[in-house]
Amino acid sequence: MKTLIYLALSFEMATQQTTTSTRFKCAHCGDAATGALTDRQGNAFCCQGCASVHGLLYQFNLGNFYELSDLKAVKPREIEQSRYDHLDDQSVESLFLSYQDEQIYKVSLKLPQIHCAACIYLLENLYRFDAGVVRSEVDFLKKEAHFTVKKQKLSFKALVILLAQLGYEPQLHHGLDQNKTVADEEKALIRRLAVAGFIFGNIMLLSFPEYLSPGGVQEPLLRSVIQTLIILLSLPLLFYSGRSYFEQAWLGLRKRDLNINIPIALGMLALFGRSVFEIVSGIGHGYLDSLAALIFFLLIGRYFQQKTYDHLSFERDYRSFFPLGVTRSRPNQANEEVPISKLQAGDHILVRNDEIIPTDSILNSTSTLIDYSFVTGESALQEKFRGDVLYAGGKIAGPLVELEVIKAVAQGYLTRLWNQEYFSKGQDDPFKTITNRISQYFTPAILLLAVGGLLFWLPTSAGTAFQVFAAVLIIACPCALALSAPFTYGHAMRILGRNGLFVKNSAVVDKLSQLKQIVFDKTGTLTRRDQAGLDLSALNWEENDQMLVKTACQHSTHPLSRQLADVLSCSVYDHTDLYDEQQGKGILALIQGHEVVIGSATFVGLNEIGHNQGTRVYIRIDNNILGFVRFKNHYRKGMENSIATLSDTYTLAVLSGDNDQERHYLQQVFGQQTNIRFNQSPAGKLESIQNMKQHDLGLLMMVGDGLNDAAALRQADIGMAVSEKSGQFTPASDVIIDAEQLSKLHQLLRFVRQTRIIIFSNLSLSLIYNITGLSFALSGLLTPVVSAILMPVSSITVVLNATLMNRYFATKNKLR
Amino acid sequence: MSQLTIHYDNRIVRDFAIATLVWGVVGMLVGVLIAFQLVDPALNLGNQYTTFGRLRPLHTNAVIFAFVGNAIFMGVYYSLQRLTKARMWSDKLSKINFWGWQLIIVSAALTLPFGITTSKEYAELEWPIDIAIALIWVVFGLNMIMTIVKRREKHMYVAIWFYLATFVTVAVLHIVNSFELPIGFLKSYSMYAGVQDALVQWWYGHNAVAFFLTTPFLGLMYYFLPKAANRPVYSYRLSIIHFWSLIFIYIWAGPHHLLYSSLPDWAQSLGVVFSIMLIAPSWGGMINGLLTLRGAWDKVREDPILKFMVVAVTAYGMATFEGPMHSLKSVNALSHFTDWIPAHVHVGTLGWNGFFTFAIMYWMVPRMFNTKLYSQKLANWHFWLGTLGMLFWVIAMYWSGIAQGLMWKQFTPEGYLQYPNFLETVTQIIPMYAIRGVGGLMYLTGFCIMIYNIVMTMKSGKLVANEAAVVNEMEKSHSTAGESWHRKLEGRPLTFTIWVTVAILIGGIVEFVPTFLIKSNVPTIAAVLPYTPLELHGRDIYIKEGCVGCHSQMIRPFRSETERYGEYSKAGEFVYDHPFLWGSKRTGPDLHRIGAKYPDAWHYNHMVAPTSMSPGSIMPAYPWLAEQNIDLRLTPKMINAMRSLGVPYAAGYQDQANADLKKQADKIVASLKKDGIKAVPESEMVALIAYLQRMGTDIKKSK
Amino acid sequence: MEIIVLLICISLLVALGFLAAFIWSIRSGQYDDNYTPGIRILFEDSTETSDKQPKA
Repeated sequence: MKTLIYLALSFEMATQQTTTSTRFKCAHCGDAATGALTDRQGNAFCCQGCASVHGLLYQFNLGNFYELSDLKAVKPREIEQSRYDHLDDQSVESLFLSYQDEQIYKVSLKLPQIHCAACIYLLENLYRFDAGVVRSEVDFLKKEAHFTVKKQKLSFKALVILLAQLGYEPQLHHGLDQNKTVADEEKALIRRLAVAGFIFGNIMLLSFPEYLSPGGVQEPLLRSVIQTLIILLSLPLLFYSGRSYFEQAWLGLRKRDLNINIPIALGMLALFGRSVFEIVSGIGHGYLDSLAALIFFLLIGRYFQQKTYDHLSFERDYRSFFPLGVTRSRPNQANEEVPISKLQAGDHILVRNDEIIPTDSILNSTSTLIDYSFVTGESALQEKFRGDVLYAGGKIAGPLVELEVIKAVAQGYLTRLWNQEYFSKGQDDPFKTITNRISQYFTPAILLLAVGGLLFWLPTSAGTAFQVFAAVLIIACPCALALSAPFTYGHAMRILGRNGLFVKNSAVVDKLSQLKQIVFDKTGTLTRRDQAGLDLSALNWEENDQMLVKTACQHSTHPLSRQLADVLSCSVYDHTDLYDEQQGKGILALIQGHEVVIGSATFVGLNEIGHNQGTRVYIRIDNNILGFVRFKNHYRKGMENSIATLSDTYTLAVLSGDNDQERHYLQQVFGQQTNIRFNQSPAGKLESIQNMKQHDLGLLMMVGDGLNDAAALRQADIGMAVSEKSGQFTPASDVIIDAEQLSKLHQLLRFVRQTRIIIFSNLSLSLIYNITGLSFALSGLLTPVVSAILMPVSSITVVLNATLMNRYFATKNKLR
Repeated sequence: MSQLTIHYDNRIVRDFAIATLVWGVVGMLVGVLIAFQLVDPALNLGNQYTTFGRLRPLHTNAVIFAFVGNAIFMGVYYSLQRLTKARMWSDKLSKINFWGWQLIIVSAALTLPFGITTSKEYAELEWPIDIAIALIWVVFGLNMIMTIVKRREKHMYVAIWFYLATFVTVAVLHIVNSFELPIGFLKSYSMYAGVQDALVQWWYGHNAVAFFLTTPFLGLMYYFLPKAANRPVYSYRLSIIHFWSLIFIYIWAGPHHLLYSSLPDWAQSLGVVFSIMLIAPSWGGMINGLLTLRGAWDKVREDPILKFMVVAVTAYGMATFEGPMHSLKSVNALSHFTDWIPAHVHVGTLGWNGFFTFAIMYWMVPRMFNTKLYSQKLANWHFWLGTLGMLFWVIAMYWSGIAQGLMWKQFTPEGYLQYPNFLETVTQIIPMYAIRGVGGLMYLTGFCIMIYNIVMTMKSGKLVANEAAVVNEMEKSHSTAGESWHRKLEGRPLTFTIWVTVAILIGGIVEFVPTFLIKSNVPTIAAVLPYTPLELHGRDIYIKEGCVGCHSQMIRPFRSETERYGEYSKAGEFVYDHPFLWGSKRTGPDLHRIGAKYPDAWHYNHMVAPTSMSPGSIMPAYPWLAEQNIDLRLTPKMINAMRSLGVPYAAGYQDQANADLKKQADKIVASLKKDGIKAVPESEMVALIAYLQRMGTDIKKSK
Repeated sequence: MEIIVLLICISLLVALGFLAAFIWSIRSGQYDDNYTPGIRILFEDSTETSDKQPKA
């Protein structure tokens, strides 16, 4: 929907632009252009890239592009082609190609830059740029494009580069087709639904005479035709559309658990059998219309559930955030790009700034800074030196480094962490969804009633007895009950999804609604991972001191000194007489005759103060100590109030990978009695969770991020992953929450709790229906009309109730 | 090289466009003429070929099948090529489609004025033409489907689905409704009788409207509206839902045309329910169309094309809302048989079909001739003239319709009819008829302005007969896993559609043969007997002169009607009516109980000079009935035909039929003689009188 | 009213035909993307219109 509106807007712009396009707007991307760079037609461009694409477009008769575009065409970026070398490797290629044979291959690529009609136009006319492209098709909403390409003419790598040059650099990660299976399931469901709906409609239609004039059509021919048609129609209904229910019922029986599908299946069969019997023996008109209605509504419920999967695609493969390829340097040979799977112990690899270390290896370059927040959750950079072992998952911050691989990827640290057996949760999950719990009692109860009715009437008259038996199963067939959960949770999931909380499945919603304890990870969860700021409050100094400090810091590569230098706005002295940096301690400089010492307490000559070491940096100029700089974390906005509200309902706890300098603050926010543990290693977090679960204070949810929490997330009854940017790596978990929305957690959870109200109201609704129905049935007074009306009506009311109440609670909790 | 240059066939589109314009003038001209004939019957120019009764079918056929029909082909041939990125499959078929269709229209124009008609509304054409229509229609369908099969665009745009639905359903409807037994070249009797014939007729009639006047234009709307506004349709998803829901509901709405008739209650209510359900998809479509223009209303203000489209879509909305309303029994009780119905129909045809056709032309012709529209100003004039004309037409008819409907039902406090004389209710609304005529004239004038505008546009440019387009080759489907059978289906998706159609037809025939062979089990009334030979001839005259266009034969079970006309009509009374002649409009009074109401002489004089019997009548005079003779050689054939249709004439009766005929004719001639009228026994007049005097009398005998 | 039998059968067959068509279109992925096609039809592929270079 959003995109729809966006597109409409872009069209508006198009109309305006044509009237008011100024000479100094880039004729391609619409950015400001100096006018220095123009083509023969006098179009100005902001950069060479734009100019060349513009040229291409006209060369290939794609001038329409600009009639369509909102003059916000994607700005093509300079790309380093070697980056894509690894795509030439068969094994990598095959990860992407959805189909290939001798001549052609097909591939679907994610192109996030797609944003307007012109993009579609350009991409779908790609075949004009390169004869290799057989056809290209854009899916605007998914921001995907499907390509069919001639192998010899245009290699996969070449295609990617072509796209990148046009400004559509593909987002290369696996599993684009992973939701394909979901889509296929959905398609299958729609087909079932279509058939059910069609048959429902036609049976209703053919039953029309019945509804209006009791006894229905009198003409024998017409009558028999209508009845045959109805029976014929109901066959595919039962055995195509309704099939899955029988299968699941059967499974239930085999696993000896009386799930809801058993009475449903029984009910369906009873309905069908009884109806056919009635029609054939000419007693009555049967209830096949009710049967159709039942199956139709059941399937609609399913469909709603399915729809919600569109909002999330869980990426279970850790490689998806790992680099696919890496540059291998070989003695006296050119470097080559190899897929990480090909790495051997002893290989020398080059890792650039901001690239992830693919596997455990030894540093060969003199020194480097590494961001381990992925693994430890600690945000401060670590400095490593030649010979140090670097663990997989770290991010290089700084110039390119050379590493020596000591383990092939498969045994990397991450992989180990990932492959712990406790990652595979949920196999024998004791938890039961509410519907199934109820059906545990419901199902046998119904069966008893039915049999009871049968036995009770048998003496009086066999006919009535069997009618009662069937009627009980029919009328009590818990369609309302069965619909209630899927609809309620289905809607809930949709609403949550809209608000940036993605739930794996309805069972999880059910769990969430019964949540008792919440455990938070600190770094990256309560705090924003991106900016760890510093606090100068503990310093008293003048302009001059600041200038000295800044000058000194400039020489250091240490991240803390860099940060310090950045925050200081003052100017600097251009000359330093002496500079000495002692690794891990601090720096010492002689500027303007002043001795400037910046570093740890001991380094500046103070004796250790017991508590909170680490991220305090002291400053001494000449002999007077000015104080220290503290690096403190930034907590997410609104967290305090959210946590305060949460603590009313839930037992809270915090597990942090950091040291305990923040304890005071956290205790304030969480309340004194809250259990807060620091210096937790991933394994440590895991154990703590296990312990908490032992106390068995009800369902426990772990809220964390980063790979290091993965184990804990898995161990908890519910694992909630916080994702800063969607599309970025998210560890396997039951729930994913958009970091921006974390402050809304209390609202979201309250909403989830309230879904229980909906469920129960629905249950009571369907109960009322069932009781009325049963009383009719057991007393043998069940007329076709009663059942025909009662059943669809009950289903519809339940569906409506679920929808409306969800809406109501959503608005009540200020959710979109 | 996957890139190739193809050429779209614009010439065929141009041809259909011209045909649309030509037949449009003809059809509308006839319309205006008969409109004014209802003000002053003298306008039938005193000759039988231009009387209202014969021209009305000509008007309806000309505007529906000639004007709208050609417009459909025009739009489909233009849009389909571009949507499938392929030239029409076969230029030869295109040509056959074009000339064949024109031929059919000409033959219609040449038969209807001569009273050669089956009298079934919108299906008046006689059997040879029916066959021709079926053939040409299949040619069109084949050409379209093969083009779709050969398409170079994987996705089938929603418009294409609408076109396909149009083809399939119209084919089926036309064939089923046209089962008739020929008794000679250009003369046949419907195979169904009475109630059953009525049901088939309106199942057809309704769906003809649905699938000939609605679905194709919805398809065109989904192509041309976005194109003209240069913005995508508001919600493509909605358009898909629109199509499928419409398809699955429409087919059942037919019976609502027969409310209060002798159709079983449940069948009537069926029609009502589905008609009501239809509002949803129809309005979905309208809203989708209008919202496409959201944010572009500034454009709409200056661009006449968009103006036409907006009005057209709105008209569609109005008509599709009004229709279901009419199907409500309470509303129908009032509206049925009145001018309200033509008003409703013309909102659809003048507004929806007419205006959208105009819009398409204004948009398309300049493009095909690679030029600009000759004059925006004239187009605007056309728009306003057309809109005003339509308003005059429609409002006048709403007025007269409701007014007359109320007058029919008006009772005095004493419980007598307020207007016992039908004529009073007519004379009161004649001014409205005049206004209607003027409205039609304005609409026609606007249309002529457009013709000038279009012709000048064509002159100013040069036809791009073969428009070059760069497209890329459709790859062969590289099948990834999947069941083989539906793969095959995917291979040639639409041959599949054809097979379905074929299956339907076979199924239809198979179902159909026994049904009309077994004796009808409509509750038969012993007293109801087959028509005598003379009456059969009279009935044919009744059909030939198109009396059914103004006179119903269906007295509904309301006091107001039984008071006025007598006993209400029973299903059993029509068992020998091939075809049924219930009619759908009462410009004149109902005739079902006319039998034995007046002396023969009254009828004779009334036919020769209606005003002599009922002053102020707007019924034209039929003097030629007295001069022309019936063809006695036909009698045996007629008897045989009727017998094979289940009418119980004794074996060999055909040989003595003419003798009986003579006897009955002489009786009438004698009775006329008493009143000093000299009539020829073989004259059409005598036959017609015989039929009129027989009508609805059997049931009285039984009492 | 056995004529209704005829009508019912025919209507049903037509409807079945369309149902089959519908199922086909779902199967063959006609409606996988029910947004882009709406835009796609706006593009002119005819060479008469696409190669005019606008003066800026």
